[in-house]
Amino acid sequence: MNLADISLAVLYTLVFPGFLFTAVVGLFLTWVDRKVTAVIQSRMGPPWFQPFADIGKLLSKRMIIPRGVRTVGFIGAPLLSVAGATLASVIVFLALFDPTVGFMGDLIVLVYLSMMPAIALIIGGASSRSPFGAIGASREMSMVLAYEVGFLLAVVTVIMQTGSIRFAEILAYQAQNGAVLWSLSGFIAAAVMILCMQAKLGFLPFDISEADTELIGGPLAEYSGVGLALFKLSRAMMFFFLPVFVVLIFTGAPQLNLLSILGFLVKLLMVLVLLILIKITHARLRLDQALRFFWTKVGLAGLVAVAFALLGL
Amino acid sequence: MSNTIDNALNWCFKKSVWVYHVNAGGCNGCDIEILDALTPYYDVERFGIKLVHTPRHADALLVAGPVTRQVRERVLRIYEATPDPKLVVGVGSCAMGGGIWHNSYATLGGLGNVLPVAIYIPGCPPRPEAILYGVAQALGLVPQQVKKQEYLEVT
Amino acid sequence: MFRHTISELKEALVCLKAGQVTLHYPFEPSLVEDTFRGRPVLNTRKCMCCGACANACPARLITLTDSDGIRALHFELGRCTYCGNCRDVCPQEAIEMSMQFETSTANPEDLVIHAEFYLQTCRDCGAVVGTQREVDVVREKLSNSPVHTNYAGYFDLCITCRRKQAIHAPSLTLEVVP
Repeated sequence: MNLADISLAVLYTLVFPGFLFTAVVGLFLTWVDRKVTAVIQSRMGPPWFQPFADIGKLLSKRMIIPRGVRTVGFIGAPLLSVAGATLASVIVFLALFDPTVGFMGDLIVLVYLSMMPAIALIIGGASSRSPFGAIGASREMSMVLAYEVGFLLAVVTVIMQTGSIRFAEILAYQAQNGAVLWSLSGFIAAAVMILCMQAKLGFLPFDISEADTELIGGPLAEYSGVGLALFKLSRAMMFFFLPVFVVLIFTGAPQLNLLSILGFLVKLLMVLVLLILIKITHARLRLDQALRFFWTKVGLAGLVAVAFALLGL
Repeated sequence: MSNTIDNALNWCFKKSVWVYHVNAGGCNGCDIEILDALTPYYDVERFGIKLVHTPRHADALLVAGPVTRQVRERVLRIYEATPDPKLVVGVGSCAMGGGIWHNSYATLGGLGNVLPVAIYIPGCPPRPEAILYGVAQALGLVPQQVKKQEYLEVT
Repeated sequence: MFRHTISELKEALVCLKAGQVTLHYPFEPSLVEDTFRGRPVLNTRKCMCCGACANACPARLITLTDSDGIRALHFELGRCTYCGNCRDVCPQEAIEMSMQFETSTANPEDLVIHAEFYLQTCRDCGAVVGTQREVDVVREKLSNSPVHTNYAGYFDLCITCRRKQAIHAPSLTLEVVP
């Protein structure tokens, strides 16, 4: 590990496929989200620079730290959220751009890191001395136990079909043997993963922990200024790298020709628009309805997908 | 360098204003007009205005109603919970001097006696367009259109 | 649950038929109807400072103050409820509810109408009769009546002095028949 390696690692993490790249593209995709929402709601939406203006404005506000909060948890939670999102996005994009950088088991690390923003929300909510934060944190804990089951079962299906837990190898397998999506188990696993991703991104109908009108922002109720900006930034980053992850893991990496890259972008856009359309046409579920949905229907579908993958379908 | 950062952050503040709506004892007329202003017909999101549900996320407080004695404490707490920089906008004739309740035993004579107000939007209730104009005027985007009318007789 | 999702997605596509309904407000003017009651405007040429509007205003924002020979009419339009009572009771039709609704301001003083009128004082005792404009209006209205010459001397007297004059005036029509 010499200085060149360390500086390259820092560059990867902070600039190119890491923080800056994912944050900028993620914020742009939140604009796409708001514009599609506006079109369906028959109005003009915000201009293209709106998410950047929002983050800039949040950075210019004073962060109020209420008296009596647990300072370490309160201040550490947004940092943890952004750190988890950054590192997860580095793994996803490096597997795409530079497949030699990776290690055995980095898929598992990726799944674990993509859970960091939810854990950070729980810590932040529990540290803010507010009943809204406490209820939001407990709801988020229940939701994490619910949607991670389906997410992991879908990932297990892919691992069983491709026979590897290294992300770059999964992409290489799909480049040779065709996408996982076209098998029965792969198709069911993709549907399961898209539903779990809706909950992971905190979108309706599953945004139970951050219910704006019920819980006043839930765990985010006491955050302002830089803390809120970091949470929103990590949400934007997740909105970028999670759909990319789904498209990559189920259909493989695009080859280096224009048609293949365009096909990848079209698939990404389709996944995004599907998530947005489900978000704006549904009402929020109650916590027990959501838990029942994830544990019985989605969990069962995931188990069926794993069973089919075992049988080789 | 710090000048450009200041200018950039000022630009961000003008382009993205998150409002929190406070009812300080009003009749709900102004509240309904504020909600009207947030519908797709007027579409405030194209100016970056968004309704938030906690004063900690807010930049502008839209306060409607004459401040009654009971609500004064809560309005002050909401004002202190909002992080700087912030704008206080008094919506309706009741905020500007107490309106029709100016000499009631239960009100305190308008918002100016309780909070530092950046701009008043008179009306009973003000049209949604007037509310939009007022918020835009507070951000410095449009000019003021009223001034004092005086007439002194000369022989 | 999935059938519900499909029907919701179909509904989302149906919503696209409405197009864009937004009124581009600051860049397009917002039209109001003819009977819209906006900010009251005082026509000081017609006003005679009689105080009917001050009586009628529910928000009590119109005040008349007398001070050395001047009657000041003061409207504090910040508290106005735009009811139009002042316009309805004004005998000179001097108040008009304009169409202006973009009246936001940081300073309540910007919404003040202040007008001053000369007072007519009694030639005998010096009490206030009314504003000179009021006296002129009454004089003009009576100038069309056939008996106006009988009252020519009363316009610059207060009510007490008018009574004194009327008690001792020569009788016009009646003769007492025992």
